[in-house]
Amino acid sequence: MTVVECSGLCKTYEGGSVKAVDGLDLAVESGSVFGLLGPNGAGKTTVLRILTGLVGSTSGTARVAGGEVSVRSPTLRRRIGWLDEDPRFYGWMSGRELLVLVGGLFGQSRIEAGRRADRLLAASGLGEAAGRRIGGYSADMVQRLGIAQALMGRPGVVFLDEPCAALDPAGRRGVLDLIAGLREEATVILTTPVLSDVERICDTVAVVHRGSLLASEATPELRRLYAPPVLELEMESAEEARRLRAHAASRAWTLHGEGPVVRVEADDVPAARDALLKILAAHGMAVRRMEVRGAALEDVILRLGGEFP
Amino acid sequence: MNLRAAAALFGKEMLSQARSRRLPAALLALLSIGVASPLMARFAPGLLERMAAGVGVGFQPPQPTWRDAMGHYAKYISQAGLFLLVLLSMGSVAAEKQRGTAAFLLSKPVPRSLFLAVKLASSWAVAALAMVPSALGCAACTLLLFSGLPLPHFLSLNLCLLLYLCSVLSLTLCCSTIGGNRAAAGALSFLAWFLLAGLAAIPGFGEFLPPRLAEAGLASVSGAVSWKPFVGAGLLIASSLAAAAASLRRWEP
Repeated sequence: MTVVECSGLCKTYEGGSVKAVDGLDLAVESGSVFGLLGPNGAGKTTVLRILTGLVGSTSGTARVAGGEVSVRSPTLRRRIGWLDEDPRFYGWMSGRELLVLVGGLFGQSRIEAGRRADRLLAASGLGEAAGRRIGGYSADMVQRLGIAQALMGRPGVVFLDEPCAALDPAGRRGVLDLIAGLREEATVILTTPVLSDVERICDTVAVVHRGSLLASEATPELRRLYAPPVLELEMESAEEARRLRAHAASRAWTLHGEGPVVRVEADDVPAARDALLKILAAHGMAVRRMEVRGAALEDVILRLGGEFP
Repeated sequence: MNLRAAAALFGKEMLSQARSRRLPAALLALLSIGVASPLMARFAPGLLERMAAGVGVGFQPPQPTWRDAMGHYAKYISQAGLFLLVLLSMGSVAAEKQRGTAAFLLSKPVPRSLFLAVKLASSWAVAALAMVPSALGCAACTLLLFSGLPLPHFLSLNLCLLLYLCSVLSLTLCCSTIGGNRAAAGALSFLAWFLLAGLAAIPGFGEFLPPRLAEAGLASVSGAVSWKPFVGAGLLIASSLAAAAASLRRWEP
């Protein structure tokens, strides 16, 4: 079942001269973790703000959890949870007090809100810090609390705007694991500029660039079509790299890179690696480093025909 | 459902007032005013007499009465209370918008009008709570230093002063919603209130404006009640709330 659907969504600023979202069509199935992937300034946050009714669209239509999205609609907000990119809570409150407040805003009694708050705090790993002031929380604790507050109203759809922004690797891992576990409770739509984040937890990914949708695919399909692994070689000098490109030009590979770095995209990466080693040995070229690495967001966008940055 | 949301918001506002020490500060400041007013009324004339005698000027002030104590009380509450409450409440909406907590609250099923109404109600509650020890302190000292304070009339004076402060707080809430930050909101509030106070000096029309409430309260101590400033206060409160709601409706976090 489709829980989020938008068609021809546009948002312009400054009298139409700045297009934040440009004719976006999107459909999200229920019970999934859906990733909106794109570089900074792609329009991801604006899309989420429109879908949550925080700002109005200039044109186009959107439906969330069975209802038409209208700006500032309390009815819509009863069905959704929202975590801002830079969540700001009351530093003088404890984590539990904040969740009980949010429960009250959703019409829950204090007892009901308290019970749910305790359950969500425990599930998000904040059980021991529940009574501490939020002002003393670390960045990943604030994000965890943000996810917990987004779930307080038992929403059908949860929108998370860059939930891993500003987190260290350990914090990022913990928060992603927490989000991955949410699909049993709600449909999750998150934004991120990091490809590895969506690969890790998202079932479906939409790539957004300059306000437009470049692709929307199941995550394995996106990886296969647009983000295959690449071979990266760092040569001794830019001259050596130029020589390698010349010798490899006849192969069915795509070559990128600048200076001493050569990136090779091939359908069969292990075979390409063996062939490259033979070329290097045959022509006596010195290589400093050679590795197979995953594609980055910029590779995906370039493959999809977008310009980067 | 909105009642529970309103109760949750109101509880949060009062908790914020208490933890940020705004409530205790208001309680202490207004208590000081309440206690100081009869003391000033009782001892200031004697002090002036001695000062005048010290420079060789003959000065015989009239014997102070409880009416002087009420005059001081009304004057201090309407002046110092005004400054205090504007300073304490000028950031109520502006600071929340700046810090991003307003966006957080308004992403929940909270109508913007409810958000403002609760802000106003909580600031009124703080004013009312702060008036209690102030009035009790003033009444106790007045009864101790003078005689004959008519308590029903004193109560009517306090209700007029409370309405005066509520009018100031409504205007401050409006300025806090419209102003971009705490300082701008405070400056706008003072400016708007001083403008109203200037207009209140105009004979006829000025009698309908809320700055005349303190005067009306003092008159009520003598048993004469003028309803005119109450009309102005009601209009100011309603129009402030409407202007704040219109401004917040257009705001995009």
